[in-house]
Amino acid sequence: MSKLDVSNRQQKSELEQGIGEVFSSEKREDIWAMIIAMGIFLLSIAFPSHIYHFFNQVLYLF
Amino acid sequence: MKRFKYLFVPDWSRYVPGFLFCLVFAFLGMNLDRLIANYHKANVASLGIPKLEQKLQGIVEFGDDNQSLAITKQAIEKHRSTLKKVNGTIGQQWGWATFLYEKAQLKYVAILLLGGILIRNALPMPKILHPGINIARSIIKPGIIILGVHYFWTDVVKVGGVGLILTVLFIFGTAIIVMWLCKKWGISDGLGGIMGAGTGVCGVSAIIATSPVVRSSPIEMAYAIGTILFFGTLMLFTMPYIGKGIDLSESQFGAWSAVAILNTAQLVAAAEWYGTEARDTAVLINVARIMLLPLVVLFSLWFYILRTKKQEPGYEINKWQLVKDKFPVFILGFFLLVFLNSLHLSLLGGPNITGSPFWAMNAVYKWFFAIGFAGIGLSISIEDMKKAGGKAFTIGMMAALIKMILGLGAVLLIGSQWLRVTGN
Repeated sequence: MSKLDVSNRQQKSELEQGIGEVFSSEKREDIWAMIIAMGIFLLSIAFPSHIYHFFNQVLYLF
Repeated sequence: MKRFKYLFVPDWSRYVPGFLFCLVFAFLGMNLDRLIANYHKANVASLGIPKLEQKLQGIVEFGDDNQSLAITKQAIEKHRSTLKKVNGTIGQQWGWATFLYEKAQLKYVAILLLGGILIRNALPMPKILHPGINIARSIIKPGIIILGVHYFWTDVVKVGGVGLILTVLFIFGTAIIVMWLCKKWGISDGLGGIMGAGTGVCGVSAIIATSPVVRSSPIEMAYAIGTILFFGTLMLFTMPYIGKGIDLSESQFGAWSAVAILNTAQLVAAAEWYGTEARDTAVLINVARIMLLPLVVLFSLWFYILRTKKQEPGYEINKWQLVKDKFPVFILGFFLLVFLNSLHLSLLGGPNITGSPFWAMNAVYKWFFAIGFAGIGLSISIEDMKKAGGKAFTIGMMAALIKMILGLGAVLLIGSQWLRVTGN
């Protein structure tokens, strides 16, 4: 097997591994997005005024 | 337990510095936006109070109805409290703030995007910040889910329906034309496949999704991603000005950006920059669009592998698994909130019902967007865009221009009515 073939194979497997990682990270991002949104939803049900005040007043300095 | 472990990113600590940097930058950007807005409103109030007082005097003198008197008094009071916020007095002027806010449209989107590009390209950015900055963009996703409280099913059916037809036409139209042209020009299947998917659906995600199916090489992916990033950035900064220049309504601009701009984060940024109505339309049409990503991957599979019988023996492709893997599950959260909002439950209220949970949620999404926009701005590297080149650049430019022009024609033809999210 030539050196070029080995390098190509290595590059391909690195690419496939990279794609796999990106994909699992996209799925992971989606699931985290749902968890975060759900957390905000539950907190908004429990303390609507506090949440509003925090994001609309406390976080602003001016 | 294994599934729970899967949620944690291996080597997560390397994302922390960059992500914290984005949080701080978003915080500063949002506060600068608020500061400019406060001074702009104070400028309007400072000029408006004498006129309103004159009007009030006229009402008193001519003995007009009590309702006008009450409304005018209320408006004066509101202006006074706006002035008080900046410790201003009547007659004082802050023309710079009105110029920045109204003429230059320097709102939080522009501050974070332009500021981010400036920081990234003008200052030495430590490598330790790169991973965290790159993942900050995905914080837009919880923002999109929360934005679901702005919609009812009527909007989803009306705008989403029109959007779905538009996106199907544009996605598959672009993908088919680009793939066919690439075949005709003798461009490799690897590059043609990812450019077809990348220019048709949501840019980089589509390129990554399609690359294993059409077996692209790393250099082809680098070219394609560089080209998509280049045109996405170009459109993000030019389209809002073109829209204003030709007096495009907000809902039409929202639909136009959702059709023409490839990347979710970039199109949300462009539409938010244009206005809230534009953002509502753009997000809804984008949700319809990204739902089609698995179908585009399937189409690429058919176009390059199944149709030409290039499938290697023993290399079985599970089509259902492919669709499942590529489906953007976060949009289910968005639809859940649309569903709950459509039920008109008094327990949840609505974005305009003070004190209700949905009213509280409505104050949150902007912060998620801000962190995401900070991530986009800080990750736009001119060096990366220079990688755009070769045939991918020509194909990308053609596809971008065609989509921009045809998309504009389509939204002008459809009109604002069918594209407006009414929230009722």
